[in-house]
Amino acid sequence: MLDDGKASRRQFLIKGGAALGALTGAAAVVDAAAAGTDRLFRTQANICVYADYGGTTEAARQQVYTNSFTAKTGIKVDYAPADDAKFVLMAEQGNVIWDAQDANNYEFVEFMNLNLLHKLPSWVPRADMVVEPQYRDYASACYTFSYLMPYRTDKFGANKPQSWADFWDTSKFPGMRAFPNDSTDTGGVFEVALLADGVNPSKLYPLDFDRALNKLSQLRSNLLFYSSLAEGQQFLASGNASLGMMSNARAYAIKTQGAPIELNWNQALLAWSGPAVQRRAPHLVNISKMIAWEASPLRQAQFAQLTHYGPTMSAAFKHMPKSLIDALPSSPAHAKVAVKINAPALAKQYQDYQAAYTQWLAKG
Amino acid sequence: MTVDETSSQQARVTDSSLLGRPIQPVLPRKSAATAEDGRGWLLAVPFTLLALCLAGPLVAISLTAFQRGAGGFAHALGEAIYLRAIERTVLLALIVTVICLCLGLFYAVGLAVSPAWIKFILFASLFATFWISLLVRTYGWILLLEPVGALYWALHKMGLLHAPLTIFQTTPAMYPAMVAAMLPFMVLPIYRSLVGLDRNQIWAARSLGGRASLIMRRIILPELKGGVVAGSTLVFMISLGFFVTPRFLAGPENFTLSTVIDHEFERTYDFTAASAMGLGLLGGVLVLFLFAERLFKVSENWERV
Repeated sequence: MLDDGKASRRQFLIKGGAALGALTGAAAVVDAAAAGTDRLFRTQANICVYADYGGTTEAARQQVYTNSFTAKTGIKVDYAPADDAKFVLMAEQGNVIWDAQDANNYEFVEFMNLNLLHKLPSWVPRADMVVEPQYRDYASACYTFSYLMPYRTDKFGANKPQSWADFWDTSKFPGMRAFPNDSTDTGGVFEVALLADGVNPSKLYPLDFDRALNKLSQLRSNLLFYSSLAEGQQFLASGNASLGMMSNARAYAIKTQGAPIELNWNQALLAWSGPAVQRRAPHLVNISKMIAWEASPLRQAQFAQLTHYGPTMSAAFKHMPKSLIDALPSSPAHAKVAVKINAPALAKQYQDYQAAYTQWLAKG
Repeated sequence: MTVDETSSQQARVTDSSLLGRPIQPVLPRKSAATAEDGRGWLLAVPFTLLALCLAGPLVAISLTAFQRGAGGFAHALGEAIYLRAIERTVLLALIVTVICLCLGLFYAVGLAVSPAWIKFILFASLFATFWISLLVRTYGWILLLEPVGALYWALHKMGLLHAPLTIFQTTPAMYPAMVAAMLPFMVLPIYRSLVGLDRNQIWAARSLGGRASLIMRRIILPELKGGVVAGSTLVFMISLGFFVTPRFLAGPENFTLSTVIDHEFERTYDFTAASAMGLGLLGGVLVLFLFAERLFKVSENWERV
């Protein structure tokens, strides 16, 4: 009896071990095949990887730029969710998966200070306006945008909010305010707080973190935080938030979808954004071709028509009706009351900026 | 040899050669696949699944956590946010467990005493919540609890509410969602112990003159204790590590351990500290389980469900 038990236990172990080994071996083979085909796909000649913030802007990019680009060259554009920390980490660790990321001007300066970016080949058309000359070899196919305050007209029909001080005035303008948390683009949060506190726009930088955070704490209970730009748009469109802080194109997108939204351009924070190419991008030629395709005055005009992001090539204005030009962030009327983000100054503080904001968010 | 007729359940054979010891009859084995049958290798499939899906990631996390020696753990413990998260999470788990217990007791009693058709409805609702994806349910709670969401609309229509709700992105918003997710874990063990109650004992106590309070104290509560303890421990342990609800329903200041770990992984990319935090959570839950097992023998009660 006892001998039987031992023999059958040994049998069980042998058979079990064999099955285990076979399964593990099979799993390893499948995994290697999957990784191999994935690597094969990624190093294929015909893709490039671009990280952006998704949503309505990505849909517009695909409609204006990507579909025609892929049809013309056969190169597919693989979109990934943008993340500053990941972008920097990739470059530092040498395991670069993204070719480029949609970066704001201050992020561009930060990346250039860290020496992370690749100079664009000479055959990529350069921007000839808005983008400062020292960045034009690295930043092309850029667009202008403004962080501004959209508000619901069904809540504030007659009495419209006009400034960031009004954004802070919860008695005159009651309701929740859609505000970014640190999972998404956090540009401008300190600037708007300081402007609401009465800081002169010309004396905005270097940013006074403590003053901004104190001001933000005053509004904290009325802030509805969004973890992605699409969620912020949804809060405003569904009426859960009566005002918001987001880029003009995102606000315009929900306006075109029928939400009762008006954009307040007074004290809008003006900046530009574009593809920042990794120094060791795995598909350098493909991403350069994509940028060259996008840096076309006609297509920049089409993109502007769809999103209300402004062009950075002056030839684009030839393709735009006057009504469109007047609606853009850099139009004369809007530029007059805008506050321009000082990219080099913000770039110097940006990492501390993000850390301070994250800490304030967690503190409550 | 003589057979003892007074015992009906087991044959006692007395034989002087066996020194008077009774021989137990050989009962047939109950398990289907055993080593003796030669089909034991079938166990290899679940074992591989456990190895790949549970042991593998655990090993990976442990290796990552110890990459910098004890540095990861030191960093994690040094972060004030981690210690606050432990405090907040334990409190959250306690509150959810207590609410679940109160509601679960009522639900289980309802299940035990209701007629068949109501019982069917109650069971169906319980299992339906179990089977619908947790993510979908959490999105549903978001739509319910938004400032001008479904709940506001319903209350407004009834004339009970005029200002938008302020519960969204606060800690109380998590309670209903988590209780709804945990209720099956609490109700089933309690229901099981209620069903196991011997009615004869209650009738006997009544016929011997026992009052309701005595019946409650001496018969019902000891029987319920097993189910209550099993359910509470399960709910508490799961609540400690719950991720989806705090991630979507709570504001950025209502972080829990799981969202802090997620933050370390996703935003600050400190994989070593994040793995250390994860191991800390696992260790804490294991210690808790060992305590509960020692004191209350919870695993026995879970087996009975």
